[in-house]
Amino acid sequence: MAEVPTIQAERAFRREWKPGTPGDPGVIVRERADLSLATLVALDRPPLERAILTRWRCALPRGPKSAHTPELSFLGVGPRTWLAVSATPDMPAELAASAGPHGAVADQSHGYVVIELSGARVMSVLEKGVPIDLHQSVFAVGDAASTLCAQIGVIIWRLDRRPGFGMALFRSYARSFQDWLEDSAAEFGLRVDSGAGRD
Amino acid sequence: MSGRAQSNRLATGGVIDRSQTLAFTFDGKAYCGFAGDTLASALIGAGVKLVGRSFKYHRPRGIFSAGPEEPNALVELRSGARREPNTRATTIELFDGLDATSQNRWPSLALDLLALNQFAAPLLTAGFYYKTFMWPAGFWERLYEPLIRRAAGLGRASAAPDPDAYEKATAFCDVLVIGAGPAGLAAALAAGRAGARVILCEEDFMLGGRLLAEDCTVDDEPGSRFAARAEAELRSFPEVRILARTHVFGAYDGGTYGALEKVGDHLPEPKPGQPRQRLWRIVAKRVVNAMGAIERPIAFPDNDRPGVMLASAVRTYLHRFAVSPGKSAVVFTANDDGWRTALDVRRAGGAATIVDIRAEPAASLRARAAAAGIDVLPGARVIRARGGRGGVCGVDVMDGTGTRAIACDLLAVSGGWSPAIGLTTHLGGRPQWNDRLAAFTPDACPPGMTVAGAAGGAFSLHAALRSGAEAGAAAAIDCGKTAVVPLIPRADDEPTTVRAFWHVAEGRGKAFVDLQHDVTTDDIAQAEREGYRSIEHLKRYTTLGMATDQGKTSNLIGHAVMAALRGQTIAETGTTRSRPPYSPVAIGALAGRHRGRQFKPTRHVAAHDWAVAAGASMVEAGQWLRPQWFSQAGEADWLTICTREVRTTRTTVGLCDVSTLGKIDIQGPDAGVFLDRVYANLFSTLPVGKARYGLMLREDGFVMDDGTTTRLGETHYVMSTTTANAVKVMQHLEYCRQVLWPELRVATISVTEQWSQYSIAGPRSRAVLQDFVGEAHDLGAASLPHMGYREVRIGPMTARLFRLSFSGELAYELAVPANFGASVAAALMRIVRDHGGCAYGTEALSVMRIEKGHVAGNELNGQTTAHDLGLGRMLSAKKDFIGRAMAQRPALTSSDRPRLVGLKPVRHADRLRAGAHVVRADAPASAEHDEGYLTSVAFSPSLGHWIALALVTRGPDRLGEVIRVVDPLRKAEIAAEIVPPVFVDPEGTRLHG
Repeated sequence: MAEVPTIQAERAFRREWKPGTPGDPGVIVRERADLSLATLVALDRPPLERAILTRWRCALPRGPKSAHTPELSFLGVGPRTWLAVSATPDMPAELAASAGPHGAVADQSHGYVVIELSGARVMSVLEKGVPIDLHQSVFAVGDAASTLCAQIGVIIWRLDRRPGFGMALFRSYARSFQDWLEDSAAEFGLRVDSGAGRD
Repeated sequence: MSGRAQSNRLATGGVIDRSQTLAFTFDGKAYCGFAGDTLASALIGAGVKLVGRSFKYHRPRGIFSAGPEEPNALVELRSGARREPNTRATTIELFDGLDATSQNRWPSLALDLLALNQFAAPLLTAGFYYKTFMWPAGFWERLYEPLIRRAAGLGRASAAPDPDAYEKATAFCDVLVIGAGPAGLAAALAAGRAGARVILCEEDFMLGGRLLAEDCTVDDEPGSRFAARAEAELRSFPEVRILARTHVFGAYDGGTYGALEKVGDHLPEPKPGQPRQRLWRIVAKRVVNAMGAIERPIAFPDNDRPGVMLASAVRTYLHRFAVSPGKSAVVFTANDDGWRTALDVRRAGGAATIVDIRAEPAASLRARAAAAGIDVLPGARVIRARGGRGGVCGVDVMDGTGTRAIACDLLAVSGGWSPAIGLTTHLGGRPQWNDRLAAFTPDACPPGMTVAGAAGGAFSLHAALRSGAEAGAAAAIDCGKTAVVPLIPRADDEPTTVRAFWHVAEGRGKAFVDLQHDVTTDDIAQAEREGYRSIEHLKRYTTLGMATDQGKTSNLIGHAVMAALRGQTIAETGTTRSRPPYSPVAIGALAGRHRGRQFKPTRHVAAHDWAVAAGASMVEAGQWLRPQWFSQAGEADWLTICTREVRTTRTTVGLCDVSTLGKIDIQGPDAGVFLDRVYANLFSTLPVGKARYGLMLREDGFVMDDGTTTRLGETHYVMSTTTANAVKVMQHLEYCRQVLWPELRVATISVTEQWSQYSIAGPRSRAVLQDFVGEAHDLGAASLPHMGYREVRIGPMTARLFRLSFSGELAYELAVPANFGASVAAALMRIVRDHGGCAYGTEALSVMRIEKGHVAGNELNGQTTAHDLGLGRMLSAKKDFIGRAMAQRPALTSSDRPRLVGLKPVRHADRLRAGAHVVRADAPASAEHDEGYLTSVAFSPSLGHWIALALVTRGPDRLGEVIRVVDPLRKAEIAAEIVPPVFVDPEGTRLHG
């Protein structure tokens, strides 16, 4: 009968970002639509840690911490729970395979949106939304937190390869988050970095 | 520049920028001032004395202070939507184009007819509104309250929406320094030099405090230069943040402080992209409170006239702003500090007379006064200020020899200095009386706070610098830094003495204590006579200290007067503690950006834009926006639309977005056991590839939530919850997993956001799906029966296909990864339309579930049991589960409880309304005969009349009985018949097609 319809992926954010005041942008936002995401929960922690170390060359962090390899990052988001973030498209399936019976994996690639924030005024913007201390001396590479940003639940971590922060939030909040970020960054100027790759 | 308009501007001096002339208007009249002026200093420079009328008596008032403690000079700032009442002229930073208006007068400031209130004064004394307006009661709303509101209000708020933005922010530091006077600057320098993370908050737009206001030197350079150098050094430290125009208004638990930054108040309107105000939550390990001290006046007759001013304010105007508040001054003082004002007035070219309450002022003071040509009247007191609207023109002074009149145009008053203890008392600290200073000083402070400078009673400049540096260094050391107390700069360290003196009892006329609330010494005496003697009673009875200035200049005098009346010491009488906010905070700042559409975040489904384009009206479901209905051309009202959507779905096919339902992934070898414990019915026996309706109870036996759970694999289930309870159920499962049964090997993961889910319902739903997934997938009843599940691969995605029905029709739910949601919804809709179907929203969804007797939020209201809802058989007897024991309580299983039934009107034209009550046909419509209420109603397109679900006492035993449906709120009553709750297809044959 009818041909199989064309299905395509769409962004969760509104079409465009408002740039704020003209001039040198103090805040740079980069959407990471290219990432695959998965929640990992330990069922048997020691064997899971060994399995992850073997396959991914990465020690699962304990507590609100992050661990990074060129291939993926693990963010500690709760008791024996991590969000795995990777540019490898089939990471969730591979993660599930590597965890075997020792861990539960749920693909969240569509469940969260991930953005990266950087720029000279990134701290000034984040303090308008995030109620925790993100100062370098307190929150460095290797730290992660599950917290709020303007009443929206977020997972935030320091990027490991360049200055800035990664943030993951549930997809349905993307537009409200965008409203907050555009309003809060308006006085500093906001630039969209469309580079999709991981540097 | 208009020289005429700045007649009282001194030729030189001041921390102002004379190259920038700023034009402004006050009460419509044009003036000008300089950059660095406040509205108050510019008005003084322009020779304006009368700036407002008092609250109760409408007496003429002038500028009383030079800072945030100002009780008198309150104005409306700006006009139109930005009009802000009760703004202190002494804190308004002058900008070009500023427009201010006096308030609390009618028709004009000069001619205020409401000043007649003065002659009604006997009616307006302490506690007047507890007495005068008590009787007759009926007069209150119609007469008294409107009268009081018209006469007694202060400024007028703008009724237009606020055009500006506000925001909130959080900052963390090692050391928070509150106040940037000498002590605060010294503290910030000491902590900053040690490498501590420092936040320095200063309410003023310039740092320096009294360094700017006094004729003083620090290390042989002017105080203002020292302040500028300190600021420059502080700005060079990367870990020091200076927040000017920021007042700290509250101390809270855990080292948290509230502060308000006035980002754009000093501009005609905020800069693009900037908020007008920013509310800071500052979390500090240590706090140095350097909030300074506030000079207090003395109560004497007619002490409220324009031209009566705090002695320190006179110096501020002379030194910082280079304006002269008067040419001929009388200084009425009870301490050494007042003498400096007389000397400074002389130095600025004016005449001065000192009236000192003390009989023997220090010889050194007298020598200096004599050298400056200042008359001194020791052991004397001002018993009256003379003058009128134009301000003070003289004083009556009494000493041991008699009374004499002295002409003057300025009366400077100094009763001594009170440390600004407000913030130190916010967490319950009680201040301590200090006889030497004649003032309360802080005792127990909020944890982590130390007090430095005048706020702690270190009144000399040198003492302030020293205590600030010591406190700053100690705070940095407490934060793990290495700090040293620096060499304290050379500065004035002369001791100053004061005599505790509050109130001139001689003379006639009102002696004001609280200028803003018009509380006089007579009011306090009256309160004492009538038994309101405790300071807390005094405050409430007279409203002393309850105005917007929180009694910064008046509380202590009021308490001292009461102490004297009671024959007590001030220490015995005590003083009030303050509560946040220490200075006014606009509600808009507390809301920040969270107003209007951004009051709470909004959650959008993936197909939001598609739905809107398809004609959907959206409705809020918690934070979600969901399509309520999809209107088509020519449809006049929602009922028409909803009825059409139900009919189309029941006869052909309908498409509904159900993405907002909670979805929880449950994995692990113990997943089945876990589900058996959290659900009332059995799940471990569910075959792979099958779904089951589940009922979840709270520990107390009442129903918590319902939904379907599907077994995707041997150790993998996915649970669905109602939209409203998604978060609550997830929390509950996490609690069970982490706290109750940590030994179970099970994981619970919210996957609500990963999947967009669409319901395709109606006789043609299978055909629609077949078109969508292609012929390769067999969707026949044998292959995918009712409550069956299948994974399907379509194009780029793997989707989950469930055969579930909420509508009672043949129906499916298709879950797809959310980024594909919008695309899938659009593609499905094209096929649905090809089959003659339509999209439907939450209204039609609700109508169809009511027709089927399915319970939802209205019935799952936390007060119903499984038994009440006709689901009692779901409580498994084969296993234990949460809520099992408590659900068996006799009261929870009694058939006398209100239980779920259907209702249909006896006359089909009658409309049922949710919330209406059920009463027996022969019983009166009163509360004691109430037998339940209608939880959900709908117009049933299938039956052609209104139907309802109701919780009715012994309902299922009364089928066929006709009862009264009484709706006292909407004044309606109809007869209805109790029927089973399933109105459509009770046998369920449609589900199984």
